[in-house]
Amino acid sequence: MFIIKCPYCGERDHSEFSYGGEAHIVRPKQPSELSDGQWAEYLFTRKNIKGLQYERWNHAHGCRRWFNMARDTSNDKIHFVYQMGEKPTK
Amino acid sequence: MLDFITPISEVYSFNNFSMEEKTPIAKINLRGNLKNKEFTINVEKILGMSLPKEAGNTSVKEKITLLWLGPNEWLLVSNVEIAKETNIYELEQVLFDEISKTNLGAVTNVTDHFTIFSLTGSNVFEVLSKGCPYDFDSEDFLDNKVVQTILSNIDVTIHRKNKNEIDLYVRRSFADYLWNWLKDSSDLK
Ligand SMILES: [Zn+2]
Repeated sequence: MFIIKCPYCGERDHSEFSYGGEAHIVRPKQPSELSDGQWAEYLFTRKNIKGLQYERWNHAHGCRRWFNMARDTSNDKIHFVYQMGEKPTK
Repeated sequence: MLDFITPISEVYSFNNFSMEEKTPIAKINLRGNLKNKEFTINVEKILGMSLPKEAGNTSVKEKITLLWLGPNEWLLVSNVEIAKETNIYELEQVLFDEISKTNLGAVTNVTDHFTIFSLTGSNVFEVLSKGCPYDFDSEDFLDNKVVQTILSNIDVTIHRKNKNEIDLYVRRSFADYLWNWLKDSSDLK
């Protein structure tokens, strides 16, 4: 079983969570001034890292809160979780 | 909200496990920022009790139970039945005027959104464990704790009254399915 530590509820089974993709992607301030290519870049292009990745998760079937997680995509080791709006400590 | 019709119309009992639906019980979803003192003070003054601030905690007074649902979300549950014909719950109006209208938080009546199954007997957690990833033997899950999790692929809220009794909150449209699943599962083989 894969256990995730929700910053609010504590350790829970992964089946209660849903994945929200790469974290810390900032929405462009003036979308209308962007080219289609730049807009597509913001919408679709992701780093797809092998190794430590900062990503968003949602405790969908628990407290329904979003949070961030630093996870190693090569072995699923979760290094730490932190709240929305916070920057990773490492 | 008038003319409450129960989704379940039976009482079931098997092998140290029984269940029945509790109806109609007023439920109010309450949201607001704990860091906003005005919100906290007003809510606690209206209810005459403090909001549970730690994950999984509940507060119980004679007529009201408060369940922690998130860092800024609670479920207020009446401990007494409301009149079937009118379904009026006075506290809702008071909260709505003092909290919603003043933009301190959100007050939503979810009475008919959830239904409650009262599950009793020494096999209660045995039955739930058949379809639930939560560890009911966890040291955190004591009497009067609440947990939101999945039971047989459905979102549920489980309020532990004591080791032989829980209140199970389920969305009304899933109630029939879950009732049948519980019936099946209580036949412990
Ligand atoms: Zn959570």
